[in-house]
Amino acid sequence: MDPPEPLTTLRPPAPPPAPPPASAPLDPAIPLCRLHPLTPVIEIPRRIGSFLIPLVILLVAKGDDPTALFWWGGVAAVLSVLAPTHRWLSLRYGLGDDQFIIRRGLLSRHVRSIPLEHVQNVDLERSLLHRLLGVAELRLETAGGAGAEASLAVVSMREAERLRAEVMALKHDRARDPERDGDLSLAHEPVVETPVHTASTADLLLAGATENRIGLIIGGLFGLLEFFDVDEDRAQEAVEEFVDQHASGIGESEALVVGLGVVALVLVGWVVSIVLTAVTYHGFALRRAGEDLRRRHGLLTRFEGVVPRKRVQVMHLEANPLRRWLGRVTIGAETAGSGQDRKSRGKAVLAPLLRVEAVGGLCSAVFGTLELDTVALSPVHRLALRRGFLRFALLGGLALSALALAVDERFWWGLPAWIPLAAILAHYRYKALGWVLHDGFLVSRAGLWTRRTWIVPVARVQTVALRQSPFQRRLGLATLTVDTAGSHAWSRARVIDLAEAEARGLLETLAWNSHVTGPVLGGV
Amino acid sequence: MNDGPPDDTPEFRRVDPRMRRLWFSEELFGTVLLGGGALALDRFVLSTQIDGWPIPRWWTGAAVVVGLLLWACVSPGLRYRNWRYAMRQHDVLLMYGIVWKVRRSIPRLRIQHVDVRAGPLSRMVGLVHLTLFTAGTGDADAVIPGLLPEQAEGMRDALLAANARDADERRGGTPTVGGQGAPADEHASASDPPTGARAAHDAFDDDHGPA
Repeated sequence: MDPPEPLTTLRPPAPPPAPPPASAPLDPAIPLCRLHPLTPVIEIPRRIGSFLIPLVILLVAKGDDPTALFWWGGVAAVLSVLAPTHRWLSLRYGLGDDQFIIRRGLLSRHVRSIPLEHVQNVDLERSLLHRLLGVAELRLETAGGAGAEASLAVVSMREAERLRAEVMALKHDRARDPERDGDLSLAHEPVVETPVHTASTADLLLAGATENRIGLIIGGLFGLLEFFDVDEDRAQEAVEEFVDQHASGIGESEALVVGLGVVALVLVGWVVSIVLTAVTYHGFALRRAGEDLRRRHGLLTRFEGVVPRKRVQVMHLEANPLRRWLGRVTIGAETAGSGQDRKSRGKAVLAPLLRVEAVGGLCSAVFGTLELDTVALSPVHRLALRRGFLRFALLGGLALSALALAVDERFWWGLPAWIPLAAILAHYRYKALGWVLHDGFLVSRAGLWTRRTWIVPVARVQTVALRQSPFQRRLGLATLTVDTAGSHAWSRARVIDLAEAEARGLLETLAWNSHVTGPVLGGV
Repeated sequence: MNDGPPDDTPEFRRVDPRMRRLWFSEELFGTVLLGGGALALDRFVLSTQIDGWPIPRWWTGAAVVVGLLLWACVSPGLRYRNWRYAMRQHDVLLMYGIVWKVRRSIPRLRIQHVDVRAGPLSRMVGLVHLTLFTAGTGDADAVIPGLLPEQAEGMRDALLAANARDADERRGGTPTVGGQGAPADEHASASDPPTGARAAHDAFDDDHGPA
């Protein structure tokens, strides 16, 4: 193979020097500090919690033998006290000019140094207990596999704020001027915060009320019943008794009782969902501070996160039919962070529920140059209609046939009624699809039920793939998938049912541009 | 203003024909496992536990086994026929798939590190697989199967050298000539040289505004 030609770059040559190797000896100039002295005190209840289940099992198995119980309880208690104390004694951290250092272990030392340029976002979380004691948990997320992050649980609130401010400031300084060295920590002018979005309580209540989580919560409640081993017959009896007493006029048919029970469960789930959302996102505020986005929310556990704007890999809007009808969307971003919590890793909610009119403003706050309101999506290939129709007709037909064979022959009559319905669904599926390559951003939309719009800066594209099912091959269609750092499989940006040639062209353009690393597309 | 992607027709290469044997043995292994499971299911559940199961004993399981065997015989050839890869100036292009066809592009500058791997079976036929890792989490790794060890090492060195050269250029320094001195051990993974990792890492924090 010929060696590739030297490549022209469009970016200014400004990468900072390579990060120091992990095995580098500790810079003695970096002062190391301990966590807050209250750390063990806060850890202990959690440790005891983790011993609870074994203790309960022990109690059930050896309830008649108090000595064993006493001994094992004692061991658990000692461990619960020793482990957090040991952690507190052995963990030190320090912030240098270009790296964050965590040292662990009393006998065998483990030193992790995190180059500040690699820090993706800085989060601050305070549970109710933390807030009472004036402390906080600080987390630095970096790109890369699990375990690349640092978690300081817990430091004093002042220390947390100082660390966060300095990490972000040093990080930006280095990005701006790699030659500058030392004496950075003092020379920061305070950053002005401009509010981007604040969610009112009404917004949050609405968000909770229109959430898809209802189904999950119902499942959870059933699971809870199962867990507490509630005797279902007795529960049913109780419900019946209740119904008899309070609404004896309605009738005693069992179906009604079951129906009422389901309605009650749904209502409870709904209320729980509303309350959960309102509590989690209470006082949600997204602010822009220079190159960072700061978001904070939470009534009991307060969360404060900093997302550097340029670390945003994908932004996505999401709305179920109810929210579309109300003209609201949820906005999230993927930040390539590697938190310990798989669920929330690299995900940042930018707006729990936002009016459609305000989306453009938020989008420009995140991606400076992009003005979403001026972006017009172009439709995908017309044959997507036929693919959608075939898919809905086939799936529905199969389901109806199965029902007809297994349950009742009358389901056969559903087939002729299903065909026009499939056509209508296909129409709406087609209408939902759209994409455009606009000024260095790929914008794509899809979803008949829950509608999603992905906004991907072309410079963030990692790999591009074109997939074709046998149906798509016959129709000459293809689906393009864009992989970015930190994107979850289910939230990966897709452009569905493009014409094959067009899709191939888009793949080439994206591959080429991600190589050049710069928005050089200049329109569609 | 940059002129879009180069309009070159990539020079596609096939994987080694011996991959068919390898894929066949893998499919055969799967057939033994799945077919055994199907037969057991037939014997112990379907034919015995379910009243009025319409198919005589062993037939369901046997049908599954025959189907799997057919697939094991046919699929390696089809897979081989459909596998293509090309090393282009700016990316690595892969095409594969029997039922669902896939065309993937892995831009060279997004490659974080490269592995050369060989399992016991592929070692027996003397082939290795090249795995390209990017920072993407969706499908972060792309595998090019069925390469000769020299070939795979050459590709790896070329990919990493291109990355390093590009990073040097961005920095305005002198380009690094030759490979990154990766070990010649075919099982060793090429540890990411700092320069290559840097180039790929830059992709994270580039400004959104026009350059």
